[in-house]
Amino acid sequence: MLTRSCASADSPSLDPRHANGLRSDPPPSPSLAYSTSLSTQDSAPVQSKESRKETKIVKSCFPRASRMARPKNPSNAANEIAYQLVVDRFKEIRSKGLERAPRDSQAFRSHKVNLGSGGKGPGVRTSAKDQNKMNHIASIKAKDVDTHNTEPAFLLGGFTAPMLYDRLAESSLKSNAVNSSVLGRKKTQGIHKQLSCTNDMSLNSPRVFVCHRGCKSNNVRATQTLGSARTSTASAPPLFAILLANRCLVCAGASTANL
Amino acid sequence: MRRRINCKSLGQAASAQVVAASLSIAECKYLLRSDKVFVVNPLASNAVNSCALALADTSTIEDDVLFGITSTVRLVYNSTPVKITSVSVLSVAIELAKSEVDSYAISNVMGTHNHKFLDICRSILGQASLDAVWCSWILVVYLCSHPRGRDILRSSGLTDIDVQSAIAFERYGGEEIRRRTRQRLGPETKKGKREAVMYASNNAAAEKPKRKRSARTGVSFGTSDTYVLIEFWHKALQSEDVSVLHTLAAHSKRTARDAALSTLARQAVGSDVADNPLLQQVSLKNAVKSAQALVSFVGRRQEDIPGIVMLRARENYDGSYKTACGFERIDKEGASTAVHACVFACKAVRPCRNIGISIAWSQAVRKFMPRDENTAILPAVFERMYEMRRGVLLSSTIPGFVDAEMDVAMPTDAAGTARSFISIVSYMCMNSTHERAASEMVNETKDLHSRVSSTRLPHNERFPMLMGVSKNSSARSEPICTPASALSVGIGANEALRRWMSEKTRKNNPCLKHFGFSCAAELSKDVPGIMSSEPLPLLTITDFEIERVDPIRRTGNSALGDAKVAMGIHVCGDCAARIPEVIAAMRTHVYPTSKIDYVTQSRAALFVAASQASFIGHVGAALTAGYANAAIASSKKISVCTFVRTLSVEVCELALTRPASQQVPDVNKLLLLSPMDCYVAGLNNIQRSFDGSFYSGTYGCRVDTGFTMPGLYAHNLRSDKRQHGE
Repeated sequence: MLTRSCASADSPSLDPRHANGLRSDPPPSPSLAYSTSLSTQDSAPVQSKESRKETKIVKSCFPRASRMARPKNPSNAANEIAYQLVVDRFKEIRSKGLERAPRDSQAFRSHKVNLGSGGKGPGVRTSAKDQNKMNHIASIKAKDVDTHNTEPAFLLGGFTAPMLYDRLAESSLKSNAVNSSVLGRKKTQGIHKQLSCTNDMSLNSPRVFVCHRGCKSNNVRATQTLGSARTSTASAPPLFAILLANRCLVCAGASTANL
Repeated sequence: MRRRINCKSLGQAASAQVVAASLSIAECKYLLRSDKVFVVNPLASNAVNSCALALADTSTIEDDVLFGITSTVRLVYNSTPVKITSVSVLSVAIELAKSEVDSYAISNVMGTHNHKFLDICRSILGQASLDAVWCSWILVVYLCSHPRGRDILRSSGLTDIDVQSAIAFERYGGEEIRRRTRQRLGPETKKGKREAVMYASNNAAAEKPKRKRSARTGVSFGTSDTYVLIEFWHKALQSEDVSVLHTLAAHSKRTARDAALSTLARQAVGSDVADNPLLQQVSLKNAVKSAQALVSFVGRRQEDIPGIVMLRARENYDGSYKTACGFERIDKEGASTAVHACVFACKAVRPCRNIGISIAWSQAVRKFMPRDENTAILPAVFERMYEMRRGVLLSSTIPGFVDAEMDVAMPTDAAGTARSFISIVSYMCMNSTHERAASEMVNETKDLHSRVSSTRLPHNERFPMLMGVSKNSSARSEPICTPASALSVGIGANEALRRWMSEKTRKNNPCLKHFGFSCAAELSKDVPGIMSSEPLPLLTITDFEIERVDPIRRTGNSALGDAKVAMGIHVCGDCAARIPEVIAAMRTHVYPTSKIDYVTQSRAALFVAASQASFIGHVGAALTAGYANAAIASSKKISVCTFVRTLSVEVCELALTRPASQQVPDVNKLLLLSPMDCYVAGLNNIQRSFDGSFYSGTYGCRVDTGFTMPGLYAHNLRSDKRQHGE
């Protein structure tokens, strides 16, 4: 599938303005770019050279600004102006015959995947000596069968559909294995063990079947029995063959599995 | 452990079974139409049948002619029935257990009888203490392990999904019990025999009984020991580890809750963590939620089966009202359905009629929001909209009714989701079970008609009216899904590919160059998920419909027949157009202005289409090879056999290279896709990648180089480069 591109196919590297690299033109830091653009605006207050020299700049030693360093709350007058702008914009939209999309509109759903994890830090408090264990158990119990049910936003608009069949089975096995994982294992105890010979081989391996009626060889493999009627059975899930194979589809007669 | 348990077989069985059920319903409609019965879509009797588009001559229809098509707002498995009866693992297990308890019906056939098996049967009937759900799965697996047991199962009405789910859950449960037993018993069991572990499921393991001869006969390779199975599970379901199984699935909420608290207590042994009410609540909720979610694997309500709807509907949009019948695919189908305002693909890219393909594009969508059960079956809203558009405003309450029963209409841009409808004429293989199921539903329809024929009709019929619904499971039989059609292979691969990249990001991918001015913390903060930002070159199938067209073709005395069908495939993509028509359109529109542009663009389209077709075929085969992948993950031997499949009309198969007893069935499955199977389509609501660069938002599906083989579970292409193994 090819998706439509709305941009020009020209590579920016072909643009002569970027001959010396993309970073040569804009300033190296976005914060500097912002201050530069402000200072060049006509409406910005112009400071004299002397006053600028007197300003003492203190460079913070912290990687980011303090969360307390918030801007001042807007005044009532500013709030009213903003409100009026919003109202005017709504009126303008409505005058064009457009309706405002509902709040749960699919077009504006978040792309973020909700993993349902406990997040950082202890979600449940307990005594200091058990806090680690509590954190561990809380994190493994945070996953349930629906945790991994996500769909791309372009498919269902950010919504999900109930899981079914193989996806539900995989998800339930995964969540149950996590939810009931063994804690306090010794170092010698692995998480996964090699599987022993379980009893599903009987289903996974095709069998030999004997037809009691008109088949030529009277000893017909399941896949061949079905495949001879229409050459498409073998790559079907094998149980199709097993459930059907006791009825020979070549001669439509009952046959018995010979194991 | 998940990787070692093959759940993909469930998906393969489901994809084949939904197609089989839909084919049976299509055959039923065909038989009814042959009897001059008026068959309509109850969700919107005046909507266009998407299957019929490929049969119609659309060459004279203009590009801007709008028509309605109903489609699900969910996904393909949510909207199509997997069974047409209410037979389930639990219902069959109860019947079988009754017959065993009353008359030893199973023991007589299987050749063995012991009190442990009787305990399991009694537990299914509620007469013993073991959990009925797990006992039912064990009974199914037990019967599968023997040819005569499979004879019993075949006539029980169970489908492959039931059996495959029983196998998967039985295997998971068995491995959980064995692993915990090994860990508890310590390292000395490593060198012990496997039987020692299997019998050591409870503390009374010391009294290991003498192993009896197994019930199997003949070829020993790959067979299972039915005696060991019952022996193991009888003890396992009474062991202290059984709570792990009950938190996954249980017959009652109480069992699940008890198991959740028991598991929590064992995890928190030596501390007071288990007493924390918050943790207890979360544990209880998880266990109950899991048990409820897995009900679909073991039980099935009568309401869940497809219903036959009898209604009064207009003939030919504005003709007189007639008694009609229709099918309700899932319970309350109207609640998860939307009607799309569609147009045909524009004439420049519209396929010719003799190709057998027709395409419609969704322009806007409006979802049904039924307020009661009747309108969930028969919304009768689209018919009202048609009357309003005709100007026959019968009542001022109609617009209010329409607004109340439907969501806001949204164009494709605002809806965030795009849909196209591809109609294809093809052939499908039908066996006798399909025909039997169809004829039984025809009889059920006639019975329903005779029951509701005495319904008093209003003098002045203005809108469709519901007369009755029939969901008589006992009058139906289940169709068998063999041989699997190309459509079922496509749906299976489609579902596997759709969720392949879920929860994955390209964090720290060295091949992606970020051009913006962001610090390292910002870079790692909002890494877009691959699933939402890098859509696969896949037209995701969200729904499908099948209609039968001509009588079945048979060759000789074959029990199988080729049935001509018209398929309506609903896909997620805006304005889908086939590559051949796109290239032909470029010759018409680009070639006269610039020959170089025409050559370069056509060649690019062809090369990219070939690459993407190859990519989907390659990865799809790697993902759907459940048996091969599970065998590799479990360190089991596999042997190479060759199966070749194509998604074109005919399905072909190459010769088998090894004896059947040594094959892994799906080790190679080639879809053999080509640019002729490719479509150009757009998508909405894709998360922007390369933000801060000139390429922000311009990328669609990536083009794979093909240098890297997909690998096991296609992990080579799914890796997020964090060395986490996948």
